[in-house]
Amino acid sequence: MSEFEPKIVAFLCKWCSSAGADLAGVSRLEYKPNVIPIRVMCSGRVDPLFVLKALKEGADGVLVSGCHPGDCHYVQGNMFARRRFIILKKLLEFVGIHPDRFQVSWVSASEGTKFTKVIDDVVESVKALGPQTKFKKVGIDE
Amino acid sequence: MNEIEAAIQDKVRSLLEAEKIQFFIGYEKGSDPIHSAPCFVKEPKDVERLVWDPFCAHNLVTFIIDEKKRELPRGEEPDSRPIGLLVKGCDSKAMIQLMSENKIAREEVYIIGVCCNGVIDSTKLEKILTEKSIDFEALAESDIQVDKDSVVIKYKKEKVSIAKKRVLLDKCPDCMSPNTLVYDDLLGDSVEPADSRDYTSVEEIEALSLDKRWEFWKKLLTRCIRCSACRNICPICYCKECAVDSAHQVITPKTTYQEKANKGTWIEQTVDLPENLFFHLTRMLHMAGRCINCGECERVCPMNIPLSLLTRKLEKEVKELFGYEPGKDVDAKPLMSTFEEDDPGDFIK
Repeated sequence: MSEFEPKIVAFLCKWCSSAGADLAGVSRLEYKPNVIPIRVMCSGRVDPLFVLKALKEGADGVLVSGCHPGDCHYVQGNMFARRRFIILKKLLEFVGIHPDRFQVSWVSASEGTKFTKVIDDVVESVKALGPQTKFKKVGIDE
Repeated sequence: MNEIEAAIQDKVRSLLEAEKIQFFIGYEKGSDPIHSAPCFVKEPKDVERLVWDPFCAHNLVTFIIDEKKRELPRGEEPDSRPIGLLVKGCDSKAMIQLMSENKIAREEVYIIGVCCNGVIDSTKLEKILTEKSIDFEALAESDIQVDKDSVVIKYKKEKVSIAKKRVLLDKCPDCMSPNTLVYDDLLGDSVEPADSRDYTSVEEIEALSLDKRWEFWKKLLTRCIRCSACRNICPICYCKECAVDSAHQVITPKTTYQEKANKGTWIEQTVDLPENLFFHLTRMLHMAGRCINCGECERVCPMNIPLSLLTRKLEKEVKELFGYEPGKDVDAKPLMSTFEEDDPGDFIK
């Protein structure tokens, strides 16, 4: 059987992380292809339900990436997001889902190399955990 | 009849006779002596139904929200008089939280506060009495005496004493607000609050390994039948349209694509573990910084799922991370719509 390849859903903010991904692309940097990027206008747009839904629909891990604090295009969107995500992370841990299944990072538009590193790290850590079966809906197969 | 009960009845009678309130929400004796039920009094002659005893468990603030959601029949003028209600210490936190969210205005309610010595969990008492083969339905009200540390029951000329600690609701032993915080009249002698909240039950689970924790919750949450009783009883859950109900969206030819997009199906009607977990986590996420731990969700759960473990965990985290306690201050800003520059962010890479 071939090696397990995790499926990661990444919510990238339009102004920083998504632009960072573009920069990584035009700089011809390589990163793991396991990520399904979803561009959102701001990390504050990411409702914690998005994360839960992604896990339920069979994602092995979820990454949310936004601007560094203070750099948000909408001034404070990522600050609100930070509060929400820490509660979500604590709750997921409390019910027994590994904290690495849901990760958050700040990547700015100029950090193409950091973006590749973040993706590689996330893929690596989720790969080590194996497939996510706990939260996955019954009947979802490859 | 005890002193407080008489005082409540007098007060409500005078309020209703003077037509100062629309109606009064209090407690009446339930179908057997160890249960009390909510009661709506509209006429001065019905005031005698009102009781106050250690079995008054319901959080009556929920009914105010239900009343506000009710749509007026055509042609009926809205009544501008306040609604009267009886509020215990723990329930008053819900009242404050709703006021701070501008859901209820202070002048819309007439609050009679009572200082509470702890409420007895009828289910626990019922279990103990059944074990001792006491027919509690045959007891008279006067056969049950509740004092500071024990519940004494007179049964067939025998006296059975049960430690009060064993039958109190889980929220009561470490109650930090036994005295009503916001009121028009306060009855009863003030009660000394507990020194600190007891998070032992939460810490026990936190000490388990991830897989053990998962097994623990898996066992509990597969039991959930998603009857939504926990949501419906919650005084803080007041949205007219709930995120977890979106599966009921009716799509007609007139439904626009925006409407469809805004009403994604978050949760499906299947009752299985992922959906149940999704439901409870969603509820908790929407409760963050708002849940005041009145324990009603746990009390009404027909499958006896200890939901207060989740709410207590939430309370603990919110207190530790942000130093925030919901239901304390009417002027407090909601936790999730504010932020501090130095909020904890170590989890972010």
